[in-house]
This record gives sequence, structure tokens and C-alpha cells, in this order.
Amino acid sequence: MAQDMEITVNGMMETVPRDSTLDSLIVLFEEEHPELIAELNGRFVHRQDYAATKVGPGDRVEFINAAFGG
Amino acid sequence: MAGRYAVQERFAPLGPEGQIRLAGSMAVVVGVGALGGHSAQLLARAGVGRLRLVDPDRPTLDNLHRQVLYDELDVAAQAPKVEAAAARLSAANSGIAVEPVAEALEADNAARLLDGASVVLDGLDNPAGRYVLNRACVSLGIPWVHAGLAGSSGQLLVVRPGKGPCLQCWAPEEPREPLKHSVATHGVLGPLPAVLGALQANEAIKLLAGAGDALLKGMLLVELWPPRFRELAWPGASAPCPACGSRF
Repeated sequence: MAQDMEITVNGMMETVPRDSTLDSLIVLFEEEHPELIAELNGRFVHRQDYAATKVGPGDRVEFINAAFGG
Repeated sequence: MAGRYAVQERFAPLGPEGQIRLAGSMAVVVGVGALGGHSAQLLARAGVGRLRLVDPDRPTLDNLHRQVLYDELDVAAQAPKVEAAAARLSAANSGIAVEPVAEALEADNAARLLDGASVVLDGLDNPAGRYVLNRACVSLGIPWVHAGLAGSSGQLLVVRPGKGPCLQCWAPEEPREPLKHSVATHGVLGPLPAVLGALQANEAIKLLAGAGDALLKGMLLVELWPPRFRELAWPGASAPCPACGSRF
């Protein structure tokens, strides 16, 4: 069984696999949508870097929806 | 009697010199709905010398909770929004020139619609239009102020071509409909466009007054329910931008 770790996702404590990347968390939390903005520990992460961005214990992840109404 | 702009000029970072710069400027507001209505009104009252309003739509009853330039008479009259808006703004400040243009901004008319602009304000209501606007402003070298919203949240970004990241530096791939979080799915909290439209006008005034040091640097994320404002810093480019070709 893969080891788990605790992180914060959108302000909530969550238990996720220890080998998570930003990409795998986006799938896990069903955030795969075109207007997603992803943040790791308060830093914006480029979409092309999601797969290579490892997430560690205690990290803070935020998934935000950009909005296009006016 | 005190001058029309006496109180605004008393704000030291703007001052009489800033006021002169505003008077000599032209702002183009693309999309004059909720965001654009608020930003255009503030720029007109601030004394921006020329305003061009670009929007092909006509007002509807379900616009009125958030689009402050229109009323029930405008909905009944069914004239283009930009005509009603130009009348309101000219009544608010007869000392400026307001030019209504009842057209949609497209790639092939952008150069004409943005001609002469000192700054452009984004009041659009879809991602595709904003990517057209971004490419046009980058190509023409015109600074623009992006905002977008839905529900109780939105974002704000100042784009200065050649000086910092553009919209496509932040989000290279244009989001395609259907979106997860949109006006169609989440509606709009009435005060939200007032907040974001005012912030856009504020950034535009800084651009026009030459107050670059006071500009928003990153992307401002705004949530009103419950309230939370924070700025995401630009982390540096990961790849060359498909729109501006830059690597800031």
C-alpha cells in the first residue's frame, strides 16, 4: 500500500498518496477544467509544470477557477 | 468655486500633473456591461479626455442588477448599450468626448477599434474575446487591464506589452467553453463587478498618470463570499509565450 501524507487543499486537510504531483492531485480532486489556476504554497504554477511538480507533506495547494464573465 | 477635479488633484500621487495626463488620454472600454459600465463611469468622472465604448449588445432586464449605466427605459427602448452609456457618461462629464461603437471586437477590426488608445479596459464576457484582445494589445503595444468574474469571485491583471507577462504568459492555452465556473453556471453577485470594475479603473488611472510604481504587479484574486483578496506573484516564464513571444 502506498504511503499517505497530509496536505492542505483549498484550506482543508486532506490525506493523499505520498508520491503525489500537482497533476495527480488535479485528477484526484476532479479539478481538470480549462480555467484552472493552481497554486503550491502560495506560488502560481504553470500548467506545463503540473506533472513535474511534486507535492510534499504539509504543503498547501489551492485550486482556483479563473472567471471570464464581465 | 473649486475646480471640478480639485479633490482628485489633492491626492498627491496624482496631483494637477496627473490630471493633465488623464485629460490628454484615451481609454477604450471593450464590453460595456457590468465591468465596463463601472470602469467607464469612473474614468469619465476622473476626467479621462476621450472614451471609446465598444459593445454590440442591447440591454436586457436581467442585466439591470449589475449593469449600472442602464435602466428600465433603456431595456424598453432597445437601443445599443453604447448609446445609452455614452449619454449617461456625457451627462456625468460634459468636458470629455465619448464615442459609442456598437460593434464586437474581432481580430480583423481590433486595430481600428483600438486606434489611438492609451489604455484598454476589458469588460468582455467570454475567454475567446479576451484572447483576441490580448493578442491585439500586445501587437499594438497598448497596455490593458484584464478582469473576469463569475459568482462571487474574479481576477485582475495589468498587461504592459514588452514590460511584463501578458494574459497568455499566464495562461498559454485559451480556455474553451463550457467552463466549470461561469456566469451561466454560477450567476453574478451584483457588487462583484463594481469591485472589479473599480479596481480596473484604478489601474488604468495609474497607467495614464504615469504611476507605474503603484501598479498591480501580479494577478489579484478577489473573492467576496466570504471576502478574501490576495495577489499571486508572477513566478517567471516556464516557456516562451505564444502571444507576445516573451520570456519574462
